[in-house]
Amino acid sequence: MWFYLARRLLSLGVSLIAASAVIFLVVEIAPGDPAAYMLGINAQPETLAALRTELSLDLPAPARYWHWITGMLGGDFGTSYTYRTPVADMVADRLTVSLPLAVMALVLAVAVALPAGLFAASRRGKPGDVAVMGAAQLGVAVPNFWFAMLLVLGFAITWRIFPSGGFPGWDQPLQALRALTLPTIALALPQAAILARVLRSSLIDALHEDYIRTARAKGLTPGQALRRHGLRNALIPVLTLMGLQFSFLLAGAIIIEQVFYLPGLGRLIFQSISQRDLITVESVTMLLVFAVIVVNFLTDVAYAVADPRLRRQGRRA
Amino acid sequence: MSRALILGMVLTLTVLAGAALSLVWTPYDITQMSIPDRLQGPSGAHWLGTDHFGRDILSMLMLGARTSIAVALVAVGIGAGVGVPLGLTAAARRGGLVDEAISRLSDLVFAFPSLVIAILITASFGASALNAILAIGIFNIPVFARLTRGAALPVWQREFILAARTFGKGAGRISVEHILPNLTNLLIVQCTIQFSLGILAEAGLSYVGLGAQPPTPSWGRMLADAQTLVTLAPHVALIPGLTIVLTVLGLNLLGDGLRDALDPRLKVIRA
Amino acid sequence: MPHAEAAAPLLSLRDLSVAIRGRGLLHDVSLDIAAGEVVALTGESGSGKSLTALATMGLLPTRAQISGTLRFAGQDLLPLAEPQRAALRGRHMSMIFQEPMTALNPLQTIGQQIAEVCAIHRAPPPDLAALLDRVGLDLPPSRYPHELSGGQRQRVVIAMAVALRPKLIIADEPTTALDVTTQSQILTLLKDLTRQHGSALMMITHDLAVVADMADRIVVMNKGHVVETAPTATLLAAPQHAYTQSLLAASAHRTKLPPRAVGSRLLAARDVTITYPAARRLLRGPAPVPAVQKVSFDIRKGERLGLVGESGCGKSTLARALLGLQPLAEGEITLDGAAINTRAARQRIQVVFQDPYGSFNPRHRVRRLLAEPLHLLDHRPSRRDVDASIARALTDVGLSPDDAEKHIHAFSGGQRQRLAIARALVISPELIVLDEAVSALDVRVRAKVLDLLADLSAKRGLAWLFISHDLSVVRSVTDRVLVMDKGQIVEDAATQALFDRPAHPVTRRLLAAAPRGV
Repeated sequence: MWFYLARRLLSLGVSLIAASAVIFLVVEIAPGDPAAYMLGINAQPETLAALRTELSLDLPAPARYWHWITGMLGGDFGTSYTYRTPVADMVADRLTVSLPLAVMALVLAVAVALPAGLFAASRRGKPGDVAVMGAAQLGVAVPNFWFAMLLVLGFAITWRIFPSGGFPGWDQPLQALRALTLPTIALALPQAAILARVLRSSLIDALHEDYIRTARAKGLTPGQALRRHGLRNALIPVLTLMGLQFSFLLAGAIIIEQVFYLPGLGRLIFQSISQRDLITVESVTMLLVFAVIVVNFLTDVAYAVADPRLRRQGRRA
Repeated sequence: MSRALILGMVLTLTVLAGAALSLVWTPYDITQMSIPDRLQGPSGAHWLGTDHFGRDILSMLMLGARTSIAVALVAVGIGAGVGVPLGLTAAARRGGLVDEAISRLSDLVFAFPSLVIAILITASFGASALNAILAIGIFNIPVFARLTRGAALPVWQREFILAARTFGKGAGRISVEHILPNLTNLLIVQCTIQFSLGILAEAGLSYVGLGAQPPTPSWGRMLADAQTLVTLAPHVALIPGLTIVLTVLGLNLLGDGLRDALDPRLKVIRA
Repeated sequence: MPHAEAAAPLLSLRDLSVAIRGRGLLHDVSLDIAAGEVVALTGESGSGKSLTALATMGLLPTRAQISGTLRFAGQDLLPLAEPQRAALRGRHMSMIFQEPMTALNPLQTIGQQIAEVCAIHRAPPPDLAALLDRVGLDLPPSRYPHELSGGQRQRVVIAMAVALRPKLIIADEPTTALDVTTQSQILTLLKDLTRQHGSALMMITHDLAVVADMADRIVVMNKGHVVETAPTATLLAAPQHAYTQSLLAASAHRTKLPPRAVGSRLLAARDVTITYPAARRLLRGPAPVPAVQKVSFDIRKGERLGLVGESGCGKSTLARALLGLQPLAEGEITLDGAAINTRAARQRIQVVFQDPYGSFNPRHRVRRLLAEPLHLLDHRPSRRDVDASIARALTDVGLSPDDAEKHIHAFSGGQRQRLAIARALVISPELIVLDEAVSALDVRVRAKVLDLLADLSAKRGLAWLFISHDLSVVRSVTDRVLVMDKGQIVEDAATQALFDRPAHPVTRRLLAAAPRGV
């Protein structure tokens, strides 16, 4: 296992370096000078030059890349061109909205998908299965931002149970949770639909394995065989999918924040793009990609823990 | 044929037909605004009502279908066109440096969800429909590369491939003559899945303003415009949303139905 | 072993029929098994013998329709609901399956899986060490299945099956997936355990030789019907039904090779060493283990050479190297002086693989499949010449030239293996590598394919390397045999001499383990 993890860790490092280089390059070839944009068209050349020095824009690209990534390693994400505040502070501030939203959505998605997939797989072909999978089929087809609009229409406008948008801050925890309820649901349910479908088919695949037949020959009923032997085996591919889904949750959260006017990372990105605050775009994108890569690495670790074939690889050699 | 497959085909063909028809005819000219007629509900004159500029929603949807289909289609084309050859090459050079490089590269691209790619491209070059195509297309490449590599590896172990190698055929020729034809079912099914995901992604991107820009009509854009009007005229938000749902549903049913009809054991990638 | 006629049988099937989706698969099957009796169910693939076992266990797919009666220990089983059937399984009747590699849950230790039998039937937990010892396993119960070999895994499955000393044990081809030496050990174990526990054994096998000295009675099945039931000695000595007769004739069949007529040296292998893995990586895995070590031998023109050994001995790897599919770590293989992976050499050596279903691209027609080796010719022949060589090859293997236009699904396993031979013949090679080429075939089909090979040897003066784990087959179609063990050739002798006076312990072990012919 250590050999396997060491390889994964190495590739994690390489991925992070490559990703940062890609992000830096794409932003680098962007036309337009941020300093000129910030000062407007009537800027004096001297002021412009001063600003460029202040923002380190006059340094050559490799130096700026080095500056950027070494800074990020130490928690310094640069200084926003627009707000003249450290990007790290803005990100930290926005994360208090985005992170709880993504985590709550992931938890809700798993909490819905797990029983639904298990239920459908154990009643394969029967009405219960058809109903659950029909709902999942629909859930996969619904754009989450439109689902969010429907939720607002139903639960915020018609029945005024939840706010239709905005975020009061965590000083009022209850209000904050209420504000995040609809966004969480909007984000979670379409993901739950995908997860439930994959779990069901993975369980059904597991049911065709020889060891399920062995278990039944030992005297287990089909249900017992599914729960005791099928589930853990079926969860291994689902684990991989959950790792992949995390990146979709992040992307989804960015869009959902737009629907509910939530001051999260997504809003920060869109503001930065429209204000050509490129250092902020660069750092926030890097943060998102970093999160995806790390979550996928953690999935691999979970994989190694869950599967003895990987766990004991060292012992056989 | 299963009922799901038929329903999927009907839904898909309806959308395709609407988009095709819009090339020559739409019920109304959507460049003409008519403020007195704005936000009307469905009626005999406007089957699906009008928007806040008094434009006919059915006409907008037909034109929007064209954008969605064009974006998703080209994106699938980029994904399959680049991803499949990469996957075949990786499988043919299994365990070698080329395989390793292709695998690591697709891992890397997977770390950039299409929205993040779109954000980066927009930050550099500004928003456009081309931007959406590139973002979705680039993200599709590793999907097809992984799928192809994964499905090609077991075929390489089959005895007819070993036999072909004893007949002196090279890896490239075997990939084209023997491997690819055995992956077509899988690739067809995956294409429909990626197509439906492309429609959803395009809608999402244009909803947040990273996709097609006005005046190009697009479903996501229509929903973004409808958001503030949802209390006044819910149909402005409901109808385009339902159109997306039915289109994606139709494609998914088509994909699942094709898989069941061709070979239920096909392992597609769903993410 | 005579049994009291008066006592009611332990298991009694009467007119048992099974259909899946309206297709009848078992037709009016009737058979009895008395307590402590060993009964063999035999027949070719598709005869319904495994289905009979699954029906008895109550493990048929849910969509299967079953009729007739099935009595076990005085109880009528078919009316019972699943929980009651489940209560019988593992406790009073248990089953051992063919494929030990996949029969165990990869995520649980073998101890957990054995103990589950007792837990599920609310029996006291077993003494795992004693039970593992009883099935001849010297392993801690904390091992995971992937750490065990196929034979060891089959012993774990047997431990589960005998843990609660059931009255009936069903073994469905329990040794087919195993090596000959392992095979005989597992059979002895099964025999001993059932005798000790007084269990009855239903033994399902396609190979009569396996059960000849073990079963009290034999039930012969064909196409879902029981065609004959008789005590073993009676059935083997005087089979009544025509099908049984043809089955026995095929098992006893010995192919007649034309006399040995060898020419000059054709293929030369010198100090061949092959190691896995060859892949380069940034972080290296464990050091490579040689799969083939310093192997040297010749094949002369027209010579019929055999290569035997247990699975994992390196014979398949060596075969791939002879075909130029496997890079060598050391040594060289040449054909008349030309390196084996050159076009000149490839034109003269062809191959037939084991799996009749995997040997052909399912998307192509027979013509295209058979024409594929013509790729090796220096000048692409004209269409008429191609048609002529295909027609000749098809005729040579006993098929019709018209078959060229058919798709591969239209052919049975035996016919496909003929097609594979036809494809190998199309460019008139001098040497054919037959890699377990008849191992997947039923006994009657196998006899015909072997006769076909003998015929081709006479007609075309072919040389071949016949690779197999089955000594009886190798004996009938070779002049000389190489025995391989742990990547090395341990014995090289004329076929008759090898069988009469085996010199190396591995050869003797293989010969001793091989089931005696019937």
